[in-house]
Amino acid sequence: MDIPYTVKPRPDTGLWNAKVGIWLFLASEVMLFGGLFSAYIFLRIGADFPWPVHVLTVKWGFINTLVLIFSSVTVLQAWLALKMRKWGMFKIWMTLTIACAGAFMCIKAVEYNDKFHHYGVQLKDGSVLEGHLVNNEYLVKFGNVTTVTLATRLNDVGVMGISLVNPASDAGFLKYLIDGKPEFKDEAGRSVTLNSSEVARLLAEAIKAKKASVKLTALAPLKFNIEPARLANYDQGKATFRDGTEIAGKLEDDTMRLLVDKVDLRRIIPTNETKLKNAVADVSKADAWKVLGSEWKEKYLKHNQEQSREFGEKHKSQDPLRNGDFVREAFTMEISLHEVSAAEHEAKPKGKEKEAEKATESVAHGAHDHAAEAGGHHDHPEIAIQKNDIHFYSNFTPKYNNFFAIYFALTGLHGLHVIGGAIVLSYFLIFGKKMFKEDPERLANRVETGGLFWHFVDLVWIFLFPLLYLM
Amino acid sequence: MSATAITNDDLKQSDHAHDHVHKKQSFLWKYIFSTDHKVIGLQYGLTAMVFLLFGFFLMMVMRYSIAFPGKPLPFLGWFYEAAHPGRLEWLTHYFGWLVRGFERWTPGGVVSPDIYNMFGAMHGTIMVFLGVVPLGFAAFGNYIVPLQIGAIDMAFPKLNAWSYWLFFVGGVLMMLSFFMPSGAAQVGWTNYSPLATTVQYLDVKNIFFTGQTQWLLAMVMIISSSLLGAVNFVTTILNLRCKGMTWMRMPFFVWAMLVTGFLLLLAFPPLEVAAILQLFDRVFGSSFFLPTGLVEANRHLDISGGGSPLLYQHLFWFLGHPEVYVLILPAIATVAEVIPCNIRRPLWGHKTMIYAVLVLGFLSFIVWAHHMYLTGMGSVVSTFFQITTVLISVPSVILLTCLMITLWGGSIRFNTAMLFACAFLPMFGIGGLTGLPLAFNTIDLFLHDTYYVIGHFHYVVAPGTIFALFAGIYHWYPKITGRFMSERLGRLHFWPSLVFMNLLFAPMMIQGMAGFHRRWYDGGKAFEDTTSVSNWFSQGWASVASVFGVHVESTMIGLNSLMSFAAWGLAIAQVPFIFNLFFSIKGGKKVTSDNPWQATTMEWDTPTPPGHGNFLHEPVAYRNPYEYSVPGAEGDYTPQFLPDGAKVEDKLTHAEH
Repeated sequence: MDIPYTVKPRPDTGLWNAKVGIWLFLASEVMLFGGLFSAYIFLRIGADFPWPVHVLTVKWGFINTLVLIFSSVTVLQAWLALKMRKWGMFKIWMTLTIACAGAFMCIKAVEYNDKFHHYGVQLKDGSVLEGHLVNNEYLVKFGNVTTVTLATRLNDVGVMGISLVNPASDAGFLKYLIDGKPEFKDEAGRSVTLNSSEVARLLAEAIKAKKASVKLTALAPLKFNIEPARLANYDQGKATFRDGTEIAGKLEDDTMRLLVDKVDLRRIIPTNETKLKNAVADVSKADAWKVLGSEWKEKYLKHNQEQSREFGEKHKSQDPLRNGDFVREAFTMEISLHEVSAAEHEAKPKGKEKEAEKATESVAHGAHDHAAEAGGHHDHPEIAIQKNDIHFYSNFTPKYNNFFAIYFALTGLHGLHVIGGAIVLSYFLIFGKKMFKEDPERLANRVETGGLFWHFVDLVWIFLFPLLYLM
Repeated sequence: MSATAITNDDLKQSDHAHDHVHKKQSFLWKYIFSTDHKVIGLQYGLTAMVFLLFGFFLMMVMRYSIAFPGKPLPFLGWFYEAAHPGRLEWLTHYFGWLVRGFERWTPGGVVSPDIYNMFGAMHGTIMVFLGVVPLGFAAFGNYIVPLQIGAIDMAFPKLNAWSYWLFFVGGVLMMLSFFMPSGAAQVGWTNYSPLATTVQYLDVKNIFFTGQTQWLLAMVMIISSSLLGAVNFVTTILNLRCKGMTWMRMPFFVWAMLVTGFLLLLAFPPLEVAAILQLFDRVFGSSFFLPTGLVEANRHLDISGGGSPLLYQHLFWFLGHPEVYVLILPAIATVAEVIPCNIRRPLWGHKTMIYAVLVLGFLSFIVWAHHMYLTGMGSVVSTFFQITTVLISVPSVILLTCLMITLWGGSIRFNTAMLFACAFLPMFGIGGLTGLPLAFNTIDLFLHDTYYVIGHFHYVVAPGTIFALFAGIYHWYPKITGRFMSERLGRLHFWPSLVFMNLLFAPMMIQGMAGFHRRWYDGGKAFEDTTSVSNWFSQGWASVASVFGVHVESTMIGLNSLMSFAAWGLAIAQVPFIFNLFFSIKGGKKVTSDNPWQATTMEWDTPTPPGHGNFLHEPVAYRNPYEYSVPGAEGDYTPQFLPDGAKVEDKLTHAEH
């Protein structure tokens, strides 16, 4: 006894089961992405910060759009080939479709990777500097570390005292030890050489004795270079890891070294500011100039003047500060040592241009060699930012702001759908031969179902591309 | 067919699996990884009932803290004392770890606010997502819908099994979250941000292994399971109806399940979005629901800010309100089957009910923000949702009224199923009518987050939905097992349940109007200005208690003990049911007919119990579903599956024939 209408359509509804199923599933998918798109609108309308626009590379997005549209055609051809009972053609078209999915994901990976290495730093007054970290790293350096305190976290237990994961601190901090051997004395005076099993043993003993921590004294002062994401907090004298381990020593350096490629001062301008003059006065006092230097300030103000003049000529009656495009163009500036933007080329008389170049040269002095060492990014000046000046920093991940958050949520979820679709289509390609021989119509129906899903994934991208890249 | 049929003989063999080693494999595939809709329905049902019981247990612990704040829990207090150093050393030695665990959450055996919050959040989550929805929609729907439309199985049996196992894994994950180092989720079943994001956030070793994060992961699984189930249900109803089963010949049960399926299909994805975005906030540090400048434990959080807590509430309640109808529609559907059968009259207004349920389904998507009057979203928005909310009471009242009118002039057969179904009507009525004041935002200003709200929705889901589901269990049990449940035990289950339910939930309304907040872990001891008022009800309870020599305060706070004792009494009242459910499999009175209740719908055309493939011959629906006491007909019922001119046969068939 078989379930009816798996292959042939039911006469009164005109549909076979899987077709009803996939359309219903797509309806729920519409609600899923609809929810995310609504979240995008809600967040953008309610944003209390300048919403980033035109920050993604349109080229990549456009290529991906073409790739997906092409794959929609190929999946249709694959289905047609099955309808015409041509297995060979089916294999070719389906392979092309899956290849397109692969190409799409590869491009996505390139885009994502770029964002993971691009940082933005917001200073205390709201100045934003963007760029890459020198050597791709930012470390908090502790020297002269003499004591290490391991935490047992006795209070972190599940219900009935059962914890499925170990809450006590672990040996993760040893990874950041760069100078010295992990040789310590415990409170009883016994010497221990720390590794992960030794740490576990010490903590187990302490837990048995109901002690909150295990204090260890280093035989010789140690040095640690720590990724700040691993730290819960730190000050001049000690650092606490997220797992509760505490090291006491001396904070030697937590300066961030950044190869700046952009400065954005829009956050400094009060939201109710109406006079351009006041806004310019505000940004000329920005903290950004303390780290970037006055030469860049002059360039920035010149760039700002240039933009204001152009805007004034084009839109005489408009209030410049109410025009988001103007504010973005005028109050952010790309920073580059060698390239001079085309607009500036036109604007400047020849003599002045040379001067400007000279100024650039002097700013970069000293930093330049360093940048060359870092490999790549020769074009951007290196600056040092004190930790105390930083209000917030992050790479361009969901943490950085809600634009990137929703960007990753939308494209990530879409990417998962691409992968899922590709797996299903690959299944038809690899294991479909048997069914093709026994019941080709059923396989065609399956491919149609998969194809419908594939078109939906494509359609979502058609909405995503303008929303994230162009608007 | 006979090889895979579920019969009593097979059950017997499985009990003695060691005698039949060769049967073991088949047992695993037949009862555990089955794709048969009936087995999956039973799996859903049993799992959901276990979760319901567990959720109920959590509530009983909470009620102890409310009634006797600061006093050690009965058994725990004793254990704690005994395990004290110097006394029963062996207990300390072997169970010291247990005491240490209790020390964290229940110091000295007293319920701490932390564990109260945790149990409160998990009680709501478990009852709604792991208990009532799986029992009402998935279990009953799975077992009954294909039978009632004359289908041999669901449209996608494998998907059906996937749906159950996703639900199961999600449920297990939810349970395991109790054993995360920070305990389970603690911020209520609604899991509102920013609190839900920032609790168990700072000072945890690993944010992934916290109850809050695991709650979200488990929810994503449970939601995915519901989506698969919903796709399956709707497809089955659209495409697998048997010959003659036209739209208007479908029983109301199937219609309600169809609408419920659509609600799940379209309302759950936004909650999935909410869960995913909150996961982003917790794990990747984004600020979807976190405003600028958020401070937690005197520390500025290292976040960009700029997000919106209101967005979370919109996404949550866009699911949350249709979810209410996901809870109640299967209940109304079950009652609509039990009542006509036991009253020997057609369902009054079958078509009206169908149209009402369709309107209800549609309207339920545009009322969600009545849960959010106090968020400051604006009076225009509030007004809109106030209007739609009042509108949606119209189809709800139509449904209830049709069921009430059905009773008129019938000859009622008061078996246990019918008792529960009859009790459902006024109980659901009270639940629904007490909701009306909450629809108006001026009144909601006062009643929001008080015990009044708790009383209101518990009347809808506890004596409402759960009573209806009990009715369903008693009604369909003979079809599933071939035996009746005990009527005597059934009455022992019904009457105390009815009394205790009302003693439990009615005082909540009174306390709520006095201003009791819904999340007080000490029952309001710390808020004497609110809780020291009294009225005739609270004074009455105090005098009743004094008759038994128990001192209870005559103020509102004295009602806490009444409700708590009612809750524990309710627990005891479920013991006969649990006995009945399991012992009747072997010890119940055997049915003598495939249609023991002399009902008219298609599921009674199957052998008892139905085997794989359900029907012995091709099922055909000849008439409307509720042809009881048709004038001129021979008996007082004319089943849907009875050909014209044929006589009703009262026979018993087994699947293996």
